[in-house]
Amino acid sequence: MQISRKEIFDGIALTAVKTDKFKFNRIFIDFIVPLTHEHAAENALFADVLTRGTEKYPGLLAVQKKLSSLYGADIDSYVGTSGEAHIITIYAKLIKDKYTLGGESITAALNELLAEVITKPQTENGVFLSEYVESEKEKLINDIAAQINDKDSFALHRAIELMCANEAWGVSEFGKAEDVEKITPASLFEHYKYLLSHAQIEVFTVGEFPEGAEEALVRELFADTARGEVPDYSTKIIKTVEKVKTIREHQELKQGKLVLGFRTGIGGYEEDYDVLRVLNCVFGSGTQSKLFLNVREKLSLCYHCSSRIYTKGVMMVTSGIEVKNYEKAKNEILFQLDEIRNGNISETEISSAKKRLRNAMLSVSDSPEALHSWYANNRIFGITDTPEEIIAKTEAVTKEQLVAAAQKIALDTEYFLCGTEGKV
Amino acid sequence: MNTTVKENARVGEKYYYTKHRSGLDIYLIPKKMSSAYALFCTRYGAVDNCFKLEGDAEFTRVPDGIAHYLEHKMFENEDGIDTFARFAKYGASANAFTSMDVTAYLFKCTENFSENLEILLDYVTHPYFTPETVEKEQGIIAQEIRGREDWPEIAQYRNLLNALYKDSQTKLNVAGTVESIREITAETLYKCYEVFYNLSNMFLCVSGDVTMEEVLAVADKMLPVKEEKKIVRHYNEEGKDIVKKYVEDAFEVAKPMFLVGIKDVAKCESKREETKRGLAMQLITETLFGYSSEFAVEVYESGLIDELDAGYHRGNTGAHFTFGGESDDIDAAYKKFVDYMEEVKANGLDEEAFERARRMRYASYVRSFETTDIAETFAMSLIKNIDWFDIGALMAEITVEDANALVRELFEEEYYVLSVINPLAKEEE
Repeated sequence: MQISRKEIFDGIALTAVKTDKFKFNRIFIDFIVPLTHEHAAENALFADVLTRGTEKYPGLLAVQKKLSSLYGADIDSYVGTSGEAHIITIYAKLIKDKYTLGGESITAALNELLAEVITKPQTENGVFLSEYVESEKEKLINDIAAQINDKDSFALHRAIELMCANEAWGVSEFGKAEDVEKITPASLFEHYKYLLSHAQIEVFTVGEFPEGAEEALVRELFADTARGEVPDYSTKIIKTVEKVKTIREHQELKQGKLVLGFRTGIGGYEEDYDVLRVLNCVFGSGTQSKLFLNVREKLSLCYHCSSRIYTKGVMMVTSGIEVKNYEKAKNEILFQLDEIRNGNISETEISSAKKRLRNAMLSVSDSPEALHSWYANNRIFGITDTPEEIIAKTEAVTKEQLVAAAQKIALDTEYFLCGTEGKV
Repeated sequence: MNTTVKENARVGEKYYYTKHRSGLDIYLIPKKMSSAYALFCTRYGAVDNCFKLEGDAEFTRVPDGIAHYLEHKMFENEDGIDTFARFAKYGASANAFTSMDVTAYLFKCTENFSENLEILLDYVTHPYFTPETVEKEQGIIAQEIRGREDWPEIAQYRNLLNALYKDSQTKLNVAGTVESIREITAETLYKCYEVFYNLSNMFLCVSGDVTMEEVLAVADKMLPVKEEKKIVRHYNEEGKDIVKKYVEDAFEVAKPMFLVGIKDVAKCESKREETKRGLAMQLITETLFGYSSEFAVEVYESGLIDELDAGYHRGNTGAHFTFGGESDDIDAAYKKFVDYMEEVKANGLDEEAFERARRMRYASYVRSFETTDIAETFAMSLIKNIDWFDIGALMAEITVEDANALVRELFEEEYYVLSVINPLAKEEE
């Protein structure tokens, strides 16, 4: 496996992973901009409109028929965040020519279609088709409303929204329904043009392409784009907590969803982030962690209880519990964090945590999606280490460093989503 | 012990097979990847609630959810060291799952494969639990069940199965209910273990940068040779008739959700015919409801149905087709589906679309071999006695005539069941 990165135009780079490990070739195109209230909805919407139709393939049916003739190749998009950067990914996925039934070559056709989708959308009066924009607006508004359907994920996102109400990180990657409403074909087209010229664009390919094909694709995609300055998409790290927020909300539910939000004070930019990776495994990530062994195995309070760290300098703990066990579960979670602060960590816990990380890092190269997300998310924080380099750094972490890091972690928000029986 | 090899040159993959002297079937799909994946499976799932050993006079009926409960309890060991802790020493990520027809114990690792395999074969062949430790698990599993009860999609599917199936165990809940698991004791767990965790009822499936010699070295060391047991399972007969045409429930969701179900109770002459029937249904589903179908594009553009999803599910006790999505007008969405199927029955499938669907399904078949996760795909296929390596060739055999005949046989409106989730009326503050 060979990985190289090259800047092709101003703020437009290509990372090519050359490997024969996989049966499909994949292309990811990341548009990276700051996460803001003003533009989140437009960012989330534009790629959906692009896949509705192009000059040469007008209409969804034409685009989909072309894709299905290419062995069900995929061209689609999704939005995500990394710290306070908003990332809109348009990706393509295609079976390699050598595995097609008749050995026919289909790679060039997909590249052509991808270029069409990104640079030659269907337009009327110089802007997006109003029919597509209105239809995709409605679907995005539905998606935003439908976040309530998945209760665990809803509770986590709601807790983050409340915890970071005054920070960019509290903005949803889909934006708000009322902001989606305001979008017009003209305003969205203007924003699309802005993204082409101002977003940091990272193209990431994984697979076996003919020599130089990846770079040729990037040149074809963006040769005609005049580039301007890329806006600052860095993340602001809050280091201290003034007052713990306690929030309880209600829905018709069989189980209470507990979320505890902490400030670690250690963002993805800092060396100590590697200490936090180990700490997270000792504390609440995996079946060897303190939360699993105590909140679940010892006290039988839940089926899942785990922690996750974010490059934003935040750690979130989630669990599903009986409403009457709220205090018990919360106190045990906080107690286990105290244990780390007090140095009650065994050598086995530390070595198991490091081995878990090591296993996860060594697995990155087995998945195209994991490779993309590793390099794309880390680059935002200036981390260019390979998974192997991170292993070396995490293995050097000492117990003293874990204790010191845990002492900096402060509870910021307690959030509980539960049935009406939990009303106080 | 003889090792055989089977190749699928088209996808560039092969597997090795050995019948171990302990009676265990062992499969290895070699792949040059960092991560190896091993699954130790027993042909035992939620549907196996009524059984006996050959020669026994009476069938034993056990509480629902017991296969899943047993899976949880297998992680405990006599020396008090938790199984997860043993794997953690070697950095493997270990887990297990139970479904309708299978209980699988698994690990993924990037190093120390043999040590990890040794742990896997050891703990699954050594049950240890006491009334106290069985009791302790109740709280954990009860929260697992409660958590799932908060998922509208799961409730919708459960309601559908209960309306579709009269007697078949296909409708059972894998984890049981908070009530049924209270009846589970250490004694019944041991009884189920003795019957179903017999190596002749189990298999091991591995994929990774590993050789059969390495796998066999561990198997030789860890697996006892025991007498084979013949299990007799009682599965309830299920006819074509349904229980209820319409079922509904209410959740805090954004939009009404619906799921149409159709039972397939036809008996196939052979395993091969049954496999082909399943594949034909996949091709039909892709042709009629795939992203590139005119139907899917039309309901997307008109906004009548969001999150459209259709599929065919086949287990060892039953099979059904489902079609669903979200819609503000469920009556219109249901009618759209019914009319569409009548039209397809009258006119037949579009041949060009059918061939495109075949290529799409073939591509996703090829993709299933991309990573060591193929071990799981392969194992889940084995549970149904299907060799995953044959699927690509079988898919090529299905004709559009076969598909048309199947559509006409299966889609009869009087047997459709509609399961709906309505948004809860908002309480006035």
